[in-house]
Amino acid sequence: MSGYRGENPLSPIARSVEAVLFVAVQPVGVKELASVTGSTEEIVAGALEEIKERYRNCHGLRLLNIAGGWSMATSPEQEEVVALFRDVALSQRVRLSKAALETLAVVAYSQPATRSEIEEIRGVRSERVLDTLLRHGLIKVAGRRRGSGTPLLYRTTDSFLSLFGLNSISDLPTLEEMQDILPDGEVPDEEGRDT
Amino acid sequence: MGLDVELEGFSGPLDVLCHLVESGGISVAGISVTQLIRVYSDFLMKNERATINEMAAFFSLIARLLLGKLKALLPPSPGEEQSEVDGGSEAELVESVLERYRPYRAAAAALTGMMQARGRSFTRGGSEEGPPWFDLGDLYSLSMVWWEMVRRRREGAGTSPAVLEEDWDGIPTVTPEEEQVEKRMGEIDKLLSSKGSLQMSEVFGPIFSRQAFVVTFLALLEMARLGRVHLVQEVLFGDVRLSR
Repeated sequence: MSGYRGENPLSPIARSVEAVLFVAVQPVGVKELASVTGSTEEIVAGALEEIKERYRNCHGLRLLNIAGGWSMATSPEQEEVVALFRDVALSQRVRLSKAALETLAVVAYSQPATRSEIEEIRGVRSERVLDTLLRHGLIKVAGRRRGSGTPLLYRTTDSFLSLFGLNSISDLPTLEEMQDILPDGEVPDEEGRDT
Repeated sequence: MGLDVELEGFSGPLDVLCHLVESGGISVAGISVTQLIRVYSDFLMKNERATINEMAAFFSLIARLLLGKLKALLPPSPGEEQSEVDGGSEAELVESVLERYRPYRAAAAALTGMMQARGRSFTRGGSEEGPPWFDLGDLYSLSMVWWEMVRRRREGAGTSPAVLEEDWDGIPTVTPEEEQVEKRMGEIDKLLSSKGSLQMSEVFGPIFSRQAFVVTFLALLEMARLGRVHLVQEVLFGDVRLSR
């Protein structure tokens, strides 16, 4: 309680936005927030900044701009505590193998991509791993390519953006930038593999 | 089924190859694509269940190899380096494949980091369910099975539709849809109990009424959803096997 003393209270619109985000299961777009709260997108953007600032200082929460919208999430500092709470960790942590991540990377950067294009780049059959990614909802079938065989085309989904903390696919660094970030293609330690 | 070799920490053969080349373990020029293909073709010959995909991948490799060999056999054009002759084209082939692969490998590594960072924050869980998924895949795969059956039905109907339509004593039109599906589920259950497993063509074979066709398909989907039947397509474009 004492942590709030001396701080300016949130504006009415920021309180409304906070309340909506509190009950939302999926990320909520600025447009929808503006519509629900009966204000403009600019005002909502200001309210979001206000909430972000408040959370930054004295909260166990944060706002995430993911999959084209805003989501209320726990702050990274609370990771251990939240992970211990019931089965949050089990239900929310998707564990992907290196093969799955590599396939996702190919789909993300080459979408829409066919299975044979993915396999051509990876040099290995990817049928099973594509099934796993479809099952996790990280990719989706986005039609068929015209031409011989009319193969299925795959695209990443909003769940993919959400899992990697991206607002849109254009937030991904380009492949050239990737090379600069990780010149040797070194992979950080993995937590586990299940696919 | 293909041979699955799981190497801890590697996502596929190109990942292994990249690692070996980058760590100086092997030289790109020393990789014999010919030998790789010989070993793999031996494996395919021994494996009687090689799928269309595996055979296609094999032919693709053979084609690329032949192209490489042809380039090596032809006299180099005036501007070309002499090194083409002694396996240079194979090395180039491997190198170009690796060059195209490396950025994606780096991207996968970066995605790992991004996922770990994002994983430190939890959002409200909820009734969020994944996309509908069936034994045969997603909705798209299911629709493919459906259209394939419709096609077969049309082909079959062209031969003797009238007689077979009468054979189906079927489901009265007045019965509500749910009951029809339940009744059909019971029938399929009985068939499964007596036979153990069935091919989908056996279930749909004698049906030539559109309504019965739809009801049977819905019954199968419902049974799959309830876990009362497993639908497995063992071979690409093949029949679908029903079992418990």
